[in-house]
This record gives sequence, C-alpha cells and structure tokens, in this order.
Amino acid sequence: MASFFGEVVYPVSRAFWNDEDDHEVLENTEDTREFVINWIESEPSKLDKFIIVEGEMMIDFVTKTILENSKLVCIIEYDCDKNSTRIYLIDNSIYVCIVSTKLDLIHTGQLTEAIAPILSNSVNLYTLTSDHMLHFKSDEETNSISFLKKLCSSRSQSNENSEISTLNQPNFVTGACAGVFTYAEMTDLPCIMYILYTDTFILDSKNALPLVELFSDLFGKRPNLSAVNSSFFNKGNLYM
Amino acid sequence: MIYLNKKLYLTNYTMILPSVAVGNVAQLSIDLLISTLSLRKIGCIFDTCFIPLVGADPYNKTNQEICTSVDLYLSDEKKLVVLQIRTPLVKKAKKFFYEILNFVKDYKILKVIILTSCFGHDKRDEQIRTVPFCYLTTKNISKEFKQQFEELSWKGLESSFLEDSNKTIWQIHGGGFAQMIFELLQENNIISVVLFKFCSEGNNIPDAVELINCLNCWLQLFKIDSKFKFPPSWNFVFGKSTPKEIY
Repeated sequence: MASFFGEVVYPVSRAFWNDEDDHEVLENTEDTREFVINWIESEPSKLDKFIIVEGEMMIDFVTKTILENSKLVCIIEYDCDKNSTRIYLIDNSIYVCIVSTKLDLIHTGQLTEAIAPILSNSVNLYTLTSDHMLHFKSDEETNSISFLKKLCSSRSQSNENSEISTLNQPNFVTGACAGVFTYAEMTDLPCIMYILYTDTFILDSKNALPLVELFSDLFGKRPNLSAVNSSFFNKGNLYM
Repeated sequence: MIYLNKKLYLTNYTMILPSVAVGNVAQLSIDLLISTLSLRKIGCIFDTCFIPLVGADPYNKTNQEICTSVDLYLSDEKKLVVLQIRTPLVKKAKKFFYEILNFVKDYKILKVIILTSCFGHDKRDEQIRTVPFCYLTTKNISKEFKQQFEELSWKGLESSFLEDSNKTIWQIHGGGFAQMIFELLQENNIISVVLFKFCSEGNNIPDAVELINCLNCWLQLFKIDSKFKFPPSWNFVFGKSTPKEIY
C-alpha cells in the first residue's frame, strides 16, 4: 500500500514471485541453507517402494491411518526442526516420506535435489497429494464429492491402474511431489502420482473413500480408520 | 540438469527461449509457437531456481506425454529449438543460465532469440510514436540480420546514460532475466537477439499473437496470413464455467 501522498506506485506483475522482478530475485543474497539428511537407521541400499506424501490433508490421513506402527528412520532438516521432512518405514518394506507442511514451495526443488540419491535407489516411486476441487479444470461436470487423478511417468505407463483416470490438461501439480515426478521422468524411474480432489479442505468419511481403496492397493492393507480417534473426521457438519 | 530423450544434431539451429516477464507474454508466445508448428518435445530441464511442476501435455489432449517446469521442443524442418518455462523464477538462476550457455555451445546452435516483455509505462518518446516492439542485439550480429531489422522497421532499445557511474546501460523493466542471460551470451560471443513488446498486465494473449507475428516477419516460420493454433490448455485461462447450481 502507498504510505506517502504523491508516492509513485509502480505496477507489479503476476509473472513474478512475491511481486519481485526477476532482477530482484537474482540480486538478492544467495540462500546458502541446505537440506541435511540424517539417517537414524542405516541407509538402505534399495527401497522397493518409496511413497512421498505432501499436503496437510493427505499427511493427516496417512499419519493417522497408516503410520501407526511405523518406525522413524530418517530426518531431513532444513532451517530448523519445525521444517523437518521425515521418512518412516512400514512393515520393513515400504518407506514413506512425509514432506514438512512448513516447507515453503520455493524450496521444494531443493528438497528434490537433496533426496535424489534416495530416489535413485528406489524401485517403485509413488507420490500422494491433494487439492481442492475448485482448482480442478474440466469440461466435464462432476457430482462426486471427491475423486482421484493420477499421472504416470513414461517408465510406469505399462503398470498403470486403469480405474483411476489420468490428470487432464490444463491441470497441474506443483511442489515436492512434482519435483520427485520430474526427477523420475528424467532418470527413467517408474513413478505414479495420485492427486485427491475434494470439495472441502478437510476429509470426512465420505470424501476419504477413494483414498481407502487406493491405500489398500498401495500399502497392501486397508487404512485403519477405526483406530483414529481424533482430527480428520472431527470437523464434519455436526455442531455438537 | 538437462534431460534429452534422444541424440540430437543442432548445428546452425536457432534457439528461442522466453523470459518470465510482465503479462507472461513471452511464455504465451512460446505456447503459440509450439502449438502452431506442432513442435516435438525432446527433453526437459530441472533446476531448483524454478518451482517444480508437472501436468498433462498442454498441446494435445490425447497424448500421454507430460509437461514440466522447463521443457525443450524441436522442429527439424525449421531448424528450431524452443524452450518453454512454466513457473516463476524463485532463486538465483546462475546455474540455469550456464546450463543454457553450455547447451548452446555444445550443440553449436547458431543464434539465440530471447522473447520478453516490458512495462508499457516505460515507453519513451520515440517508442510511444512507433510500433510497441523493441530489440537488442549482441555486437557480433551479422550485417544481413541488421539489414533485415531495418527493412522490418524494428526499433533498437534506447540506452540510458547514468551520470553517477558514467555508464551507458540498457534496461527492460519487467523483462525478467532476459537481459542477464543476454549479457552472458554476449560475453561468450553467442549471437543473440532480445525481442520484446511493451504491454500491461491483463489478457495478454493479443500481445503474444503480436509478438509472434513480429518474430515471424523476421524468421518466416509460417505464412504471414496463416491462422494460429491456440493450445487447448488455454481454454480455462479465465477459469471454469459457472456451476449450474448457482442459478
């Protein structure tokens, strides 16, 4: 906002991040902070299944229903403890990476670069993310309250699950999941990205249904909804 | 990191790249170029200075190809390599600029054309009275090209003199990284041209059409009166249609 009478306020452009001309981005001091990967357990030489989870809603669901008896095996730190991304191990076979919800979108490329060696050691990569239905653009009218879309890397196209339709243009995904997917495409790794579109910003028993079915395939077991006693189902339409 | 899906021979090709600039005019122009000439995707670039992005092929609804933050396209017929950028620059891009420079050098690309845009309010006297385009070239540009620009009545960018530092400089306000990459290419003796349009933020599709028409007058990529093929991904530029439930 203009603070002085007569001040010249130059227009800004949507093209620039935080209204900064690229000149300003380039002139700003270099951010020398880096991601530090700390393995609590010994670093695995091969990961059969590596699942990257991003977004508050998806993380909440995975944490409550899948990560119950998991083991924390790795902490990826950036800036401070609050920003740490964590890797958990389930049933000694599935590695799940929970991307910190505090991580700024502008650092997600850097995170991808940091975990690239782990991605290269993975046999099958999956990414899980979510978005609001308002952001989904399509000619087709939909009455469902939630639905899943997927994107398959060139290598994984033959293994694709045909029940979930492919993300159509002009929809796109940004962030760590997109970074991992791009890396997989460039290095010829099989990767499938799942995106859950919902009509609310919180999950309830109805709009979580596509995830229940997907998780049965992905984790080899149905998510333990009965064990959940808080959070993601508690913000329904009930007032009491 | 540059990924190419096949071995390429690009000697004497022309590279066109956009600068993320006011109104995204250059990026829209590149979209038009790729769609109209049906260019083939040949690879992509991953760099932490851009926000990662993935989506379906923006130019073909039925194709299984994916798009990323920075993709490379090719036309062997037109001897053209086109780079498209789909996210804003968020960090220092020195590594990215050098990656482009090395790509140009390694593949012996003849010239680089940088498309960009400049805030309309930045026009000066002569620029107000003439076409809303300007160009900037490296010193090593051939006489043939200079003559072509004169025939097309293109206007060169006016320089400004800084009394404090006793220097003559060129400035493209709102032009993004165009000038930086141009200077790097100039230092390395690569023939480069920056072509830009003065514009304001809004629906910048007409600006993109005009910029590509202007470029086409020089490069003769397609017939002057031929129609552009708008990419299907532009169908939702102004959002979805209103839901029926509200009526």
